Amino acid sequence: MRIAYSILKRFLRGLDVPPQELATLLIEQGLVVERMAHVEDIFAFPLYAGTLEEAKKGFLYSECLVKMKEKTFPVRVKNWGVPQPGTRVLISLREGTPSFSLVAGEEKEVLEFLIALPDVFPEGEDISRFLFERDTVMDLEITPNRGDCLSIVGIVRDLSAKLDLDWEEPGVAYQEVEIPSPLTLRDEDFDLCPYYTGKFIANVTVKPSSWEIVRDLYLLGLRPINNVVDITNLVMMEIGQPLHAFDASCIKDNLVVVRRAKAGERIITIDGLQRELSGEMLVIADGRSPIGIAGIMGGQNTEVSPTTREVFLESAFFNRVSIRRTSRALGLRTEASARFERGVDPQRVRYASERVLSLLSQEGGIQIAKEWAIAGEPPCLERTVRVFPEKINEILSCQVETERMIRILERLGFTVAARTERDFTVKVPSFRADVAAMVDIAEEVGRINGYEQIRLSSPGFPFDPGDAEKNYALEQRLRTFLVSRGLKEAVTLSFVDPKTVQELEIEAEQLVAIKNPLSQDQSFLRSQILLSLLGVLRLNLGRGRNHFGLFEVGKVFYPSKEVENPWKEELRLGMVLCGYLLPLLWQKGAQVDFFVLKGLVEEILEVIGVSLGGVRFLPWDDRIPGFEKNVAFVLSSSGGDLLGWGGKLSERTLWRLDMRGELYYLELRLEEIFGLVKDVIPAIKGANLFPAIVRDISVVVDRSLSWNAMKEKIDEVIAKEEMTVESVEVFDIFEGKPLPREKKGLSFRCIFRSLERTLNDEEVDVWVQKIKENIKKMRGVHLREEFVHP
Amino acid sequence: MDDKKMEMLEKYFSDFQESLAKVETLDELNRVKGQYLGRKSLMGDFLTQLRSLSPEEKRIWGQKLNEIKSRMEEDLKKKYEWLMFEKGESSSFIDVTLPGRKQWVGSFHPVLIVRDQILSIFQSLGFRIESGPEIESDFYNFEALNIPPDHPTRDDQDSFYLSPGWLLRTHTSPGQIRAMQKLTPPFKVVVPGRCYRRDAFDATHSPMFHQIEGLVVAPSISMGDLKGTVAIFVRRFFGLHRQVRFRPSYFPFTEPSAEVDVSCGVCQGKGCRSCGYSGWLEIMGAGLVHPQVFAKVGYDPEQVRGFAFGMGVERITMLKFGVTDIRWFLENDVNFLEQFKALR
Ligand SMILES: [Zn+2]
Repeated sequence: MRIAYSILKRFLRGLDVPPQELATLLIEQGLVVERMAHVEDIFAFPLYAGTLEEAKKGFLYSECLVKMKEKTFPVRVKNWGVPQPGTRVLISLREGTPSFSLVAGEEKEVLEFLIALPDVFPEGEDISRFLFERDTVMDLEITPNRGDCLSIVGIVRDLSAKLDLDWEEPGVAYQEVEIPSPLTLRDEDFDLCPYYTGKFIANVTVKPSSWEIVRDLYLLGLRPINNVVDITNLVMMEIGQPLHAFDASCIKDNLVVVRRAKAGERIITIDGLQRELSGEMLVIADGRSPIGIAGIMGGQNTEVSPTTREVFLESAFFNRVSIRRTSRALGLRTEASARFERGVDPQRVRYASERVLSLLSQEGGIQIAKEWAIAGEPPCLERTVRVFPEKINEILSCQVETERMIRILERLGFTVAARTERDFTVKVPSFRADVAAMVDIAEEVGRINGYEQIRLSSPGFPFDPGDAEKNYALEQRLRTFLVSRGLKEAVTLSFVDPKTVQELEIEAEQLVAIKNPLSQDQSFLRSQILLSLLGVLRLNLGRGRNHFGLFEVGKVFYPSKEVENPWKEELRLGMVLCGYLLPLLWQKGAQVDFFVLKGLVEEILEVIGVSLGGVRFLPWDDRIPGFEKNVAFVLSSSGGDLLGWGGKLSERTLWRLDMRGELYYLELRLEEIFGLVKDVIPAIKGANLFPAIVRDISVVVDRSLSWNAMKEKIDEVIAKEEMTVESVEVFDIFEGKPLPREKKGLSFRCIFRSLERTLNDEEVDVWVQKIKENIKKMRGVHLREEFVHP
Repeated sequence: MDDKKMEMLEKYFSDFQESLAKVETLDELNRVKGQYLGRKSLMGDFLTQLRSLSPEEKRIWGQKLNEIKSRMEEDLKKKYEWLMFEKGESSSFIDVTLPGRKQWVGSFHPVLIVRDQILSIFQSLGFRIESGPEIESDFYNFEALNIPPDHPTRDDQDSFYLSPGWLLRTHTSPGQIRAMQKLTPPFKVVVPGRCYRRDAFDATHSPMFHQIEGLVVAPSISMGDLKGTVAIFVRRFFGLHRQVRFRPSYFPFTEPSAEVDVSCGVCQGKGCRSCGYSGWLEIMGAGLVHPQVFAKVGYDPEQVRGFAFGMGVERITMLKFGVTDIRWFLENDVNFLEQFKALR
């Protein structure tokens, strides 16, 4: 809503705060000033009065000459918009170039009309200050609950409460005559249009508006059309009720029908576009077809034009939801629809018409029919609210006297209906449909009294917030650990491109589709973090960033079969590693590889408290697309639940997505993993001070034999023989000469240590021998010392 | 030899010790060594003079000279060792200016740094952290928050729909409803999370963003409690010198409603480009819980009151770090992320 300081001052004569301060006051009472501008910056200053010297009338337009002192300027103007020669007209001169509009940059080949000025303006004088003074224009952002403030009167009323100033509603004065109205009104849909009024006006002369009206419209952000339309627009801005003027002679069959559109019906609106209508939309129709989309925009077929002599003036109360739906369905938002959507004042529907009639009468000559065409009645929104001042002060943490509360409310249009010692009852004005309960009254008192008056306090009550949820705490620990290990945290869009999904060979049915995506490449929700991180990878590699680790903790989504909630969300960790871990000088052997990735997984599990004994790393299976077949693993719980997967991203997949390089990726199902974390504090023992005995064992085995198989065997022997072993760790693996191709060497270190006594060499020798004997029995396993080279 | 000579010798030794004490470097040590023990030194003279003495004198003086000489040599050696050890001039040389064997340095994401900072402030004020799903039903996201279908507020919160009645949450406010269903008043909670709105990307808009919702429910909550709590938060997060402004606003689920501004940190409220010449920056929406919302979850609005607030984490992160484009947050260029390595 645009408003000018000069217009506010016309209503609030006592207004003496300068514009800048006024803007602050408006903001403090909830009317946000989005923009302020001086008239100099909006209008084509400087402005002068010229004299129309001659006008040569053509078929559509006249060739005019406007004189200003010694100079004359030619201009083409449509015939209806040319005043009498000798009339003073508005002209703006910038570096010798003339303009005949108030606003800069509105020049056209053919002007609609010249703005006529009274003769009191001397030709060639700068009259900018006289026309505008030092005015300021403000754009206000009106919240959806305050439809009443989409009008000058609404803003004035609000300000009058803040400033405690008097003001008056614009008056009504016009003459009616005994002429018959030829039109019959029929309202067929009281649901969508509870109240409709129409007035027939004859003997109308359509002409350009006076300079004052033109100026006011421009100040309010509207463009002048002609006197009839301009006055309806001005009244809409003044009191917030949109009106529409039809050319009555174009209404067929002398019938005005308020009804829903019929399927397939169309209308060309006054903006020249053809609109397809549906049965949900309310229209104003004549005996044959729609002549306007109710509350949104009129039709071209009945538009008021320079030839119009008779006008049917509409002012109505439409159903706000219906207007909103229609406006959205047509993609057509207008000043009128914006007001109807938020609700207009049902009690001022007819008053708005009367204001238009009053202003039109001032131009003289018109004949207003005595009879109103009326259907329905204004819906009664009358409400009363009982107010307890003590409670209001308690809610607001303020100390406002009851007298002041009442004064504020009265200034805002409320009336006190009853009053006792402890409370009073107010009648809510018809333009405040948003006020229904005492909290609403509290807000009214609060915002006019000023939120700066609210005294600070602290909520005081006993409440134990408890620990953060277990999963939240574990997520924080995980993130902190990964950052401390040198990874950067990422946050990516949850939307993914179906193309990426396809390249990863994920079936689209496993994904959640967005019904109304912003674009095709953001039309699915991710089912894996990988889908998002691939984009991040591509961006970084494309920018030449080749050595880094990134991770994201976030949700993935997929459809579920549950009836109550058809969607499932799951918390995941996605992590990617690429390049060298160390700077150039030190990077020997420091390239990220499979075991760097696996090591991180093991560390993650240990840090959050999952015992490595409770999980299994299994070779890659077909479940997880996108990885290099022999360089990937699946992580599962000992119970067989899928916990995650990781490995080297397949070069084929990367190539398809326009990337290359050795990239390692991990995805963990965090809820499953967090579920393995036990809330048990381990039994802590003192440090073991008995000495250890260390023995190394070397074997030659088939290349396909996994360390895990060997380890299981060793553990079995250890358990069986009740050995006190602290650890068994691989420390060397070797392949190639002198070993045959199908063999590999494996060395591991056993550390023996008892918790109770010092072990002696002899007993350990016996244990080592037991281990050797047992693993020797495994298929394809030889002790290194016994292996005979072929 | 006489007493005079003995005196000279003693003076010679004490001079030596004095000079040695001043030695700081190996070069100086060598110079002292040459000066007192070299061929051209006084010690050399003494030794030369020795030849012309009687055998008896030779023996006494020789012994004396040797004793002093070996004491000097010992002192020199000690000094040498001290220099080596204390001054770190060890024999194996390394170039300490070479880069260290440094592994990657990690960093938290800026938006989550700020999210966590905000959460920990509220935790320290006794708030409990709650969470909620990103896919919400129309009931939780709108209906229960007093936003019926066709409410104009839905225009500003254009949603991504998955199916009729199911959408990606447009704000964390459904967290209020879930918290009220789960907990029994009085309580204080904060609910962080990702939100989604159908806003195309530009420098200040993103279809995905983070919010933090706060809710306090107790029998006698007032606007003062809201303002007091928010004021503490602003002081802790933005700093002591920043001002807070409450101004009336509108949200369907609060009444009275307020918009909270913090004074611009760039111009200290005088007005500059980054605050649109207003001196204030909008940081959150807030208000007292609307009685209709209490009614929706079965609370008696006569028995409890509450305040709620909600803030956009990206916006606050941009203010905090002076980031000018919201898209950088989702781009995840490691070069951009690296700048946050020292922050938590
Ligand atoms: Zn500023």
